[in-house]
Amino acid sequence: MTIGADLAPDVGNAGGIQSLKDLGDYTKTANPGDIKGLTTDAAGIAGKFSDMGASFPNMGSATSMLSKISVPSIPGLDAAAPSLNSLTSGLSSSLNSMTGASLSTALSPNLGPGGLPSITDFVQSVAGGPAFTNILENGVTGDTIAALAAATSKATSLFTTAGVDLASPPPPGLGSAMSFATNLHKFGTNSEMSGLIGNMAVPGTQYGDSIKASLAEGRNKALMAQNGIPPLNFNNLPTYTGEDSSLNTNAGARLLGG
Amino acid sequence: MGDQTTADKIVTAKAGTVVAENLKLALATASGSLTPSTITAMVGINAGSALQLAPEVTEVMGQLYFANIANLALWPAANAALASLTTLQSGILPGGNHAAFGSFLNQAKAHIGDATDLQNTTNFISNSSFGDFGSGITNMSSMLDQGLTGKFGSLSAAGAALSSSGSMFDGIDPKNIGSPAGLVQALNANKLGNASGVNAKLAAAGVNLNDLTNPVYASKIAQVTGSISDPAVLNTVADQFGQTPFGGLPSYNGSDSSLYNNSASKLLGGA
Repeated sequence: MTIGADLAPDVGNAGGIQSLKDLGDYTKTANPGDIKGLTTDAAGIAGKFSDMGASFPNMGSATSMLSKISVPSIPGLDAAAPSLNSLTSGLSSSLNSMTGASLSTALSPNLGPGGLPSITDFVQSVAGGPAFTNILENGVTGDTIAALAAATSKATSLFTTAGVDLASPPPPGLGSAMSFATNLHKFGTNSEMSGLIGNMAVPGTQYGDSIKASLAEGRNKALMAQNGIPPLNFNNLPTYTGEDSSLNTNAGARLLGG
Repeated sequence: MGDQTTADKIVTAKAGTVVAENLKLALATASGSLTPSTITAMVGINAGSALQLAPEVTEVMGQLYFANIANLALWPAANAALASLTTLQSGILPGGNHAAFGSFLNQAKAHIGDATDLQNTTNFISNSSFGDFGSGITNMSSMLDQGLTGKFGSLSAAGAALSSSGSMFDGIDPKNIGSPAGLVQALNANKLGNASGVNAKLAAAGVNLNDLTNPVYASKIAQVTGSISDPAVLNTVADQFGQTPFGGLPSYNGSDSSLYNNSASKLLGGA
């Protein structure tokens, strides 16, 4: 049987492994040439891995990971970011332009949190919003007209900013209609969207009412799901294969899966 | 964004059971489904008879249209505002294609979600320093490896240091790698704690073997493991962990050569 002493280079005992503790000391076990450039001790390595939340199945995994990590030279990016705050400050103008935050004006401030646009900013021209309430409350004046014009202009720009081409709507058909209708459940969970769409539902008709019903259904479904109540099942029920034919003609039995 | 409409159709048509390429996660949420209400709404949407301009919108449009009656000077501005408004309305809610409105709503909602995510992240970043993300992180470059190079100096050297311990620290909590406590944990995990005599000496020194990582025992554990210099023990441990120490192992000078050849006797700590 071959043991460690037989495999180790013959460098003598002095300075080599002198005790059991030395076997856990990489400065004694590793080739000095191989660990050249290492700027921390074992505690430093252990502390860093621990701070990072590392969990290695074995040390081979750790060394393999270290050998595969790459850091390209990025002097341009390093120079642009002497600090994280300066980096984001330098990008803020572009970011505000991309999000639509820069489209907010005194006449038509964005309604979302943090100065971002809200759904109302996008669709108040059809669903109503503060620019319209302003006219209803204060009348048609130079100021209220200007505010409405600003809101309309901003909404047009917001759609462009969001990459929405109003001139090329999806063609009507089953897919697009079903998409909107089933999304009403999702929209119903958002009070802002639910209110806006509800404002647009044609009153007193089955179709307008179905819009309001779908919004409420989605909101209620989400509330009940949080309490373990599943939605009603409108998919095909399983076929009854038993011998009691009454189960096939009894609606109550069929709801139970008969 | 253009593809999102198509993807949205796919997902909602299948009640969120289909995951399409480039699909936003929010759209994959199975929150919408076909019900008597949504089926009726779908027919109304397709027929263009479920939605209309909100009442307050039509009322304001009427006021703008007749603005000249109250104040002729307002008419040009009111007329221009009305023209812009109706142009936008015809784009958002095209006649006979109310499904388009749903698509635009979805896209606007997705944009707002993206913008909110972006703002939250950039706000967090702008209020943070590089060092907040861990030791060794001082700039953008060092963020790429989470500060490993900055902390270790050389990743290949760190790898060599770790591999020189063989399998000693396999399965040991990373925070104990290279520490005397980690060494004892490794010995016990490989049933060498008693055979090497470490456990007995630690117990004699007052170290609680069930609390090895307690900092109060660190110096005692280092002292004990540093005091065990029996070549046979060292060779056995090194062999067990597959170590080939560069510094070499002490030669065994005893008279019982069987210690080197008999596994059972080696486990007892040699001579």
